[in-house]
Amino acid sequence: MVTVTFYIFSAFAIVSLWMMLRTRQLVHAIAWFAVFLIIIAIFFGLLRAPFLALGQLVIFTGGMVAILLIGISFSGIDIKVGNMPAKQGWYKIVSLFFLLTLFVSIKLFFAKNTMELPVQRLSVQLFGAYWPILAFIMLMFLAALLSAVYFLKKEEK
Amino acid sequence: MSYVILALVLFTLGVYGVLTSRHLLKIFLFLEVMTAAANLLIGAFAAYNKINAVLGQIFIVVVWAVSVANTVVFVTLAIYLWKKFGTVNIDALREMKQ
Repeated sequence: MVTVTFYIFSAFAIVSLWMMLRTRQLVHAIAWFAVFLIIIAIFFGLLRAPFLALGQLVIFTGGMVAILLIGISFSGIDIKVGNMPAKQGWYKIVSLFFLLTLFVSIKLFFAKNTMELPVQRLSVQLFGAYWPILAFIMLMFLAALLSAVYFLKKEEK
Repeated sequence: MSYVILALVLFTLGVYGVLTSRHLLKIFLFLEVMTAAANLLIGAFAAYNKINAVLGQIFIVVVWAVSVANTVVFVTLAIYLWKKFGTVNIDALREMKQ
């Protein structure tokens, strides 16, 4: 079951990247990018890393895609990225993808002993022995936000 | 072994996308694809390492932090270039530089 799921979603990952390459609209490319990130989260689930799977969904598929879409919509950046013709029938692939995702999610939800590495153990390590890494992450976010504010203020002047 | 091959294929597609795209934000998307492929490889190695699987996952969390900070800076830079030069096409930006 896991092997078959792996091969099916591998094909989907490659197809989503190919569609990212082929699409002529930036928003469509971001949508295919979100599909690709969901597939990576499924791979983390197959590797029995539920924390990484959830983090991938929340941080990347939720946060990063939202930041990109908000940045594009508020700034009015040109969303045409190429001259290749748009492909028809992509909705069939997306529908099949979501059906498969739903099926695998249900199977993983009812599977027994899927957590080889409990999230509790990871959190104890992360907030205990590896707390300097968390501090580093917070400094990284602060530096990124300050850089963003600096760029935009510089533009206003 | 399957995860190694898959990560290699995804990384190669990411490199191809970076080399062939001309839109700044699309180049960024493919850079993130390369990061995700590398994360997948690290995650696979961590999952098969029974002694210390936590370390690999924590490393991936750190890479996530760098990626998200990178996103904020990259989107801001794209907005800045769009407002200043009216384009985010790297060929046009290169011509302006010359």
